[in-house]
Amino acid sequence: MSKDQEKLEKEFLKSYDDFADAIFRHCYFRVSDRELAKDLVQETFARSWKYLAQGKIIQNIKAFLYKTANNLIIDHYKKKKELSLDELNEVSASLASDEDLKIQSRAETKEILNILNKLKPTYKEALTMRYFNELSVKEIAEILDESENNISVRIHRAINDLKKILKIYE
Amino acid sequence: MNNENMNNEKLIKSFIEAKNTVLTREEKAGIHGFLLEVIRENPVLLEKEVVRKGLLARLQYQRPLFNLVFRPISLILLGVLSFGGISLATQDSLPGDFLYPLKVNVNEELEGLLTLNKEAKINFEAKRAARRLEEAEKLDSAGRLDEEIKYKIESDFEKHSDKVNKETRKRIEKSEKSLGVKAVSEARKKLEKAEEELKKGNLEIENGNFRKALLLFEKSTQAAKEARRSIKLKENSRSDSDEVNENNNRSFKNNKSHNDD
Repeated sequence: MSKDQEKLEKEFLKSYDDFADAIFRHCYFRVSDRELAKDLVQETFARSWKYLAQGKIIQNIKAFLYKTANNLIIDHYKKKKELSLDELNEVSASLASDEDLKIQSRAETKEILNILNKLKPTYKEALTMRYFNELSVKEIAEILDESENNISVRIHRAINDLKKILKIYE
Repeated sequence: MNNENMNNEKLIKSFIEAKNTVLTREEKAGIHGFLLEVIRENPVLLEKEVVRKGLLARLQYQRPLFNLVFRPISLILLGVLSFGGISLATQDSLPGDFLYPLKVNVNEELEGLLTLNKEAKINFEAKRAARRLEEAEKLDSAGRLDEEIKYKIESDFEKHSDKVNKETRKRIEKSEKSLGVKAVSEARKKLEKAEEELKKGNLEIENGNFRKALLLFEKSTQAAKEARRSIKLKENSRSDSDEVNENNNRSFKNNKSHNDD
């Protein structure tokens, strides 16, 4: 193996260590299914490696990973229609109960997923990227290829809608 | 009220803790192992193979000076000197092809510059946007639509399609000032329809349904065209009636001065 190849492999695996959890969170809150989210993480990184292996350059690995994950999520929804609330309840009941999990309880996560799924898809996406993935507005704009202004407005509207949903939810 | 606050607090706490959603150690190690297999099965291409497959693409990322200075000059020269034969091949090229930058950055830009009429310019932007969707569809069918190319196509489509409705909106706003809001209400409704169809089209693009997106985009451009036509008719009929009024005023003045005499 050449030195360049070794270096690329090392950098790639480091990016996996750095971003795997964030990408997992991103996928999980979009698809509401832990096993599927894991598969999507795996596929995201696999595709990213294959892209690099072709000799292509990735300027911003973080943005690339999120874009790849987004495309995989979209492909998933193309194949299946969006989960109904009943199906969602079944899926979220399949969450692992391993003690290593840092989610407080299945019931609370189910509740969060139910609420998030009431938002418009683009609002849910912007909100989860901002608050669960802790991406800046600038980073989100780059990943989604939109202006920072559009993203800021979208997050603001998502929060307003969330407030309305929370009021109805009680 | 207390119950309400407690429920909200509980939910907010859940939101905060959901940020800690992570892969377990075992899950992370499992994926890591899988990736090592992927790396073994997909070794990095050797330098000379990369050069053979896509010299220009590689240089595009690695040589800023080349990208800013020599590449545009070389592409323009290439376009000008070998217009006939290469032009045909260029027109059919797709994102990722060697000649694609020539198609988009030279041929289409030249075509745009040479389109002088305002209405024709808008139609040309619509044509460019539609081309992006057609390219996406062809690449998708050929299994060549990767993430970077998809996002590039989507942002190019948005750039050109936005211009169509933006120009239409500018004309409507201008006409509202001269003709009044009521007079251009029909045009406004058409523009709203155009924007609605474009929104649906963008959703289809997100879902990878490029053919459907193209049909919705065509409906959108048609509605925008009808909006502009409606304004033109109103403006023409206004200027016709202005002319009639002016003629009437002139003949009234002439008659009056004749009578005074």
